[in-house]
Amino acid sequence: MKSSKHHRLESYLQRLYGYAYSLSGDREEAKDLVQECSVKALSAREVPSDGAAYRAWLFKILRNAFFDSHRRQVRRDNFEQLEAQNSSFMEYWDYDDRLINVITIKSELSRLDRVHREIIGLIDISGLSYAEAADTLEIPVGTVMSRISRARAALLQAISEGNVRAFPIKRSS
Amino acid sequence: MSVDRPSFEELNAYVDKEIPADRAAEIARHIANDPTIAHTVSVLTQLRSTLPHAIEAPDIEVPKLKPTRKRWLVAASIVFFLLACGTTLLSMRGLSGGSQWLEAAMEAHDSWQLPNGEGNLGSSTPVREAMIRENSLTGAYIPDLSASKLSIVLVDTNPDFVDDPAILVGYAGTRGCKVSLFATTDESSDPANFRFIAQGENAAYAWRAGPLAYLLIAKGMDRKRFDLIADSVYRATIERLPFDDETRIALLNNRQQSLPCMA
Repeated sequence: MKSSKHHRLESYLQRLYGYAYSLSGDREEAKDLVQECSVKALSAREVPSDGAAYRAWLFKILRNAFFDSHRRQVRRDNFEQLEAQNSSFMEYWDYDDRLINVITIKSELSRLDRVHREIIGLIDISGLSYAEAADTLEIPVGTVMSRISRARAALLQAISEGNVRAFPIKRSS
Repeated sequence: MSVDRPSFEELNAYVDKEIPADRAAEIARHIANDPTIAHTVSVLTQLRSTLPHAIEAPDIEVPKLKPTRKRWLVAASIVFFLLACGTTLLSMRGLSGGSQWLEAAMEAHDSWQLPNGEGNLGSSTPVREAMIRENSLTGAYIPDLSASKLSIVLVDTNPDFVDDPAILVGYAGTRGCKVSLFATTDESSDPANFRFIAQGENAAYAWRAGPLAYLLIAKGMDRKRFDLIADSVYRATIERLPFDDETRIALLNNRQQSLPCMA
């Protein structure tokens, strides 16, 4: 019989996987990260009772697990540098919106910098609010707001520069 | 109205419903009057709704953890049983009894640290062969455990806790797992069967292969995973052959289904 701890955690597994995948870009590693996060969450003596706090706590565990296993390859400080280097600016989107689909997004998402993938993973894929993402990343809400905007701009830019082109739809008369 | 024209950042926050109500109302008016802004909001909305479908999550189950207290009780009763029976698990020249050697080996296993992403010595055949050539204990078979995602990160060809020629090889996994393989000459003990030993949180298997005694130790590793690794390593040291495809696949599957190490 599953415990309430199990049930509570179970409802977040898919979202945790989405975030883990956006961090690692690798299916196997993402599964490992979710497993590691689950074990740590289930073994914890103190668990936040509040729903939002619990959610942020889970995502923090997963994030720490990722950084622990990549401590030397990806320093946390580098995230800020990376973001500054890739602060792509977009005013408005004036391209073909037929390019926005699962195939183009999947293809271009993997090519984004990790800092951009991570914020997209937290907000768009895992459904966290700006405040929850700020709590997880330990940054101000304002930074989340600009980071997600830059990340989406970078993704849209990548899609528009990608190999996929929209074909005109022929309509039968 | 142009003064208050929303930025791309604000449009993102608008789509995310993360903007104050009064500003959201102003942006809604811009959307109604400006086709470029309306198009941008439409694209962002489409992007936001499509993104969750871009990553297909596999079936993931919450791992079932054994209650820690019970695990300790089981481990303690096994240790008590072994001590009570006066079981000599391995006896090595230079030490008064097998349990002392075992204890020293367990301590050696505990003392080496997992590297943080680097420090991998590699488990490719040339690297392993070079290490074995330099090894004073010629002939110890050091298996490649990459099928179980364990890489060689440590080789000690002169462990100081035994007088006999010996080798200690440390393998590290990606989820906090570490495994130590010891091999040493052992002229004083009779050939022993493949056997399981538990001491505290450490689990070990000991066996003999020809003139060598082997000991494989892991801490906090999923028992099923450790059993399969130990059985595979045991057979490899007896046959002196790399794992066959079937074993490699079994190790890979077993690792995927196992829990991360708890030590």
